[in-house]
Amino acid sequence: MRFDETQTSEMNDAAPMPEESGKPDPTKAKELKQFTHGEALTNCRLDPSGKYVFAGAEDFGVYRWEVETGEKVIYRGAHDSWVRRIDFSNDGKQVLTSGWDGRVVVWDVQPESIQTVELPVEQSESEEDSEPVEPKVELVVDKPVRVVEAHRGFSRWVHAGPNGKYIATCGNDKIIKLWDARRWKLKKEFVGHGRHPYAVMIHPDGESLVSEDLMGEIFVWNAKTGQRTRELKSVMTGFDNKFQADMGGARDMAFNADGSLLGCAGITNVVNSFAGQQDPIICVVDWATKEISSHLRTKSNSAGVAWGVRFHPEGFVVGAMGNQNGKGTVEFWSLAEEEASESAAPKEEAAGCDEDTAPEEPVEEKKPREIKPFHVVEVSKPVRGIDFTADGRRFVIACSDGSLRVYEM
Amino acid sequence: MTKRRNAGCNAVDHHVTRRNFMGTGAMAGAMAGFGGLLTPSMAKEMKSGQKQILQVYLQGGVSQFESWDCKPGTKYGGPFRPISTSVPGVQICELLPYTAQKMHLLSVVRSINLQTDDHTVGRLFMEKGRKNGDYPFVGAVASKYLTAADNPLPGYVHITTRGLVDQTAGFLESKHEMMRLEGVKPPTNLERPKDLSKSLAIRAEGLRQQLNQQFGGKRSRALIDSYDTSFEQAQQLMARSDLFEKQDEKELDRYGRHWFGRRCLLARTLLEQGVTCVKVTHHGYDTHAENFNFHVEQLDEFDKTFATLLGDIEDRGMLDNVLVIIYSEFGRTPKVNHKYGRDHWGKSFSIALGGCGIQPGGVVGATNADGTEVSDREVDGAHLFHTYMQAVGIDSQSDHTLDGRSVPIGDPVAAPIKELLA
Repeated sequence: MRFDETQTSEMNDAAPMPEESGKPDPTKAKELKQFTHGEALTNCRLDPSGKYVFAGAEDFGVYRWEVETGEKVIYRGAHDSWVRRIDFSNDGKQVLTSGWDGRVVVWDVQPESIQTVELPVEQSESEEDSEPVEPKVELVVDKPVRVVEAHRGFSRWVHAGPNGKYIATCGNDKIIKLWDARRWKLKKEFVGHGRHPYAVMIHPDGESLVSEDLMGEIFVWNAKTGQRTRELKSVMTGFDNKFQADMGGARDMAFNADGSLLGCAGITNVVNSFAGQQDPIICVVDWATKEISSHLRTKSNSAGVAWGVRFHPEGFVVGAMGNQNGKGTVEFWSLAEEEASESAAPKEEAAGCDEDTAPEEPVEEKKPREIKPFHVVEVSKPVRGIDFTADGRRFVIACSDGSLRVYEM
Repeated sequence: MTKRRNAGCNAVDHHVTRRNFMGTGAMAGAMAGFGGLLTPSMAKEMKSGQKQILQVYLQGGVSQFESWDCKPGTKYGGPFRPISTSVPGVQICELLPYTAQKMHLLSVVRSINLQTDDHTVGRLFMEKGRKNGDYPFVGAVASKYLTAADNPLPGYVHITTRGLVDQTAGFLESKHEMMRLEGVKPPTNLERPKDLSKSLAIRAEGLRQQLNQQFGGKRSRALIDSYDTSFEQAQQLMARSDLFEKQDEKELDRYGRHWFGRRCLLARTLLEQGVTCVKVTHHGYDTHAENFNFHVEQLDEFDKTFATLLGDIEDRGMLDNVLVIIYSEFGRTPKVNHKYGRDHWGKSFSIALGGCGIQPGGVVGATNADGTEVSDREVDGAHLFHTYMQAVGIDSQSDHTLDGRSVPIGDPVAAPIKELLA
């Protein structure tokens, strides 16, 4: 019995993980290993222990790889569509997956029972006299802890709140929902997005939620009253004049550790979104003022989508890009950086998005700073998700070719 | 394939079958003169006889996987699931819940292979029933053979926004050329110029007619008559600017206040008023990137609006006489690319159609398990063209007669999809 050997490839043969020394340095980021899957991946998350990485794929499965050994476990049977978003319960024992089927599924990170399923052996006639081929096996988890029919239409997002009490979800019914985390009883609904909300997060203080929709509208909600307390119009949307449709919204959202900053990853400067011609962008929201303080731009200005954003423990911001040209990048920004040059400023057409909300009086308007990355890691395929270990030394990325790549820095 | 030619005869007598005779012969008398557009009683009478076509063109190529031919759980199936419809055993994509409840009025063709992935070639093939050549579009042919001789309205109206420039009438008279409306706005220059008095306009028109008579004295009248018709249509439209004025608020609530809702509401009005072929374009299906998010948005807009329009046509008793076609120039690739997009795919895709002359509730043809090729009852644009024509009573296997020449209406190498015809 053997595992499929093609699913793990070590960059350094049998080499142990590099020793940790000094602070994590993005300029020294190096790919350590790569796991592969037969279908394109849609997202990835490291469990809080850093031992496992979970990924969704363009099939109906959720996949768990053990980072050190490459052992792959398939979680299946509960979703009948693609999984878009993955999160973990506050104690790290359960993994939550939300999908295009409208469901949120709760699984054990380390289930008591993992089935070993033999795969059929394909043996050619010419091999009749040769040694019998050892069958390949799959490790399968097919019993979820809970299946929640969370939304009518696509459940785009699931986020477990900081105190373990609540879970936030959003979906194509345009409703933000807050659930009791223990019993999955619906506590409150937040209604107001005119278009599909793409992501929702519970603030680390547990007092408020923030959500963003297709039109780049960022709403802050009071978790107790359900009232909308702030509306921000971001540049993360655009109307494609040629094809007459809107595209935008947060493809990823993250708070920093103390909740003082929110990052929203997505697109801006829509030219022809039907061909993927728009700029990736990460908008950083200053939570104290509830204003968008920074626009993080890519180094190359390549057309594409920002699919991931994380705040590193060392204070910099990390973004994952899937580019129109079939490649990807992981980019690093310092929020202390000087504003980027003129050339990085948004194009005139897209900048107009904010004009409607501009004050009539010529008061000094504080525009978001335009910031360029201080370092870029090139990736051979578009990146669709990124996550860091708690110590910030390793990160994993999910790619459109089905590869899951582990980096150390 | 049997060809039926009628060379030497009055073409119209052969092109128009008995079923739509009332729509051309008898109605022509009833609508003689240009005293005004259709009265309600005339409209009612027209509804009872005139065959019409509603084309809903999903521009760019709607994905067959995300509409009429779901492949859930397969390699290329994508994230969406099929749903049951009003026809037992027939499922379509969950993105079309309202249309699903109207499927007893429609049939689906799941086995179209155009052998092209090119927008223009695909569009022309689907419109002309020929892959090459200067042939007229479905709407122009309908305009020629289904429009009552004295109907002052244009025979073929396209409500769109983007200007795709096609010679839609081919070798037919220019009066059958598509009239393009930009959204629900009236045609440009519909109103008399402010500095042109009414009396001067009447005198100018008189002069035009006089010059026409002099010019046409010893010449063929065909071209002049065609231009005359265009002028007369323009004049009648100028008198009916109300068609383009503010749309009913309650109706907009039903149809949706987005552009497609407004266009479909205008389409209903134009059909009610007797326009022979109304084409409505819904843009935004060329989804090389973000195929799934775009289909969520676009089909969400399409679904309820289209189902409302179809329901209204049925409720008004018009569906027996209105052929409804929902189509694209091709479908989209089975393979999902790195931008979550699907690219052009003309090898195995679907359309839906219903109403006049079409057997409802059916599914014709099939694709293989992964949707990569047609597995049963392969058809192309030529078969579809014949089917549309036959459905509205035009014998597509007869000929156009052009200055003594005969040109087959439909491609002689193809035939209608008979199992679709009522």
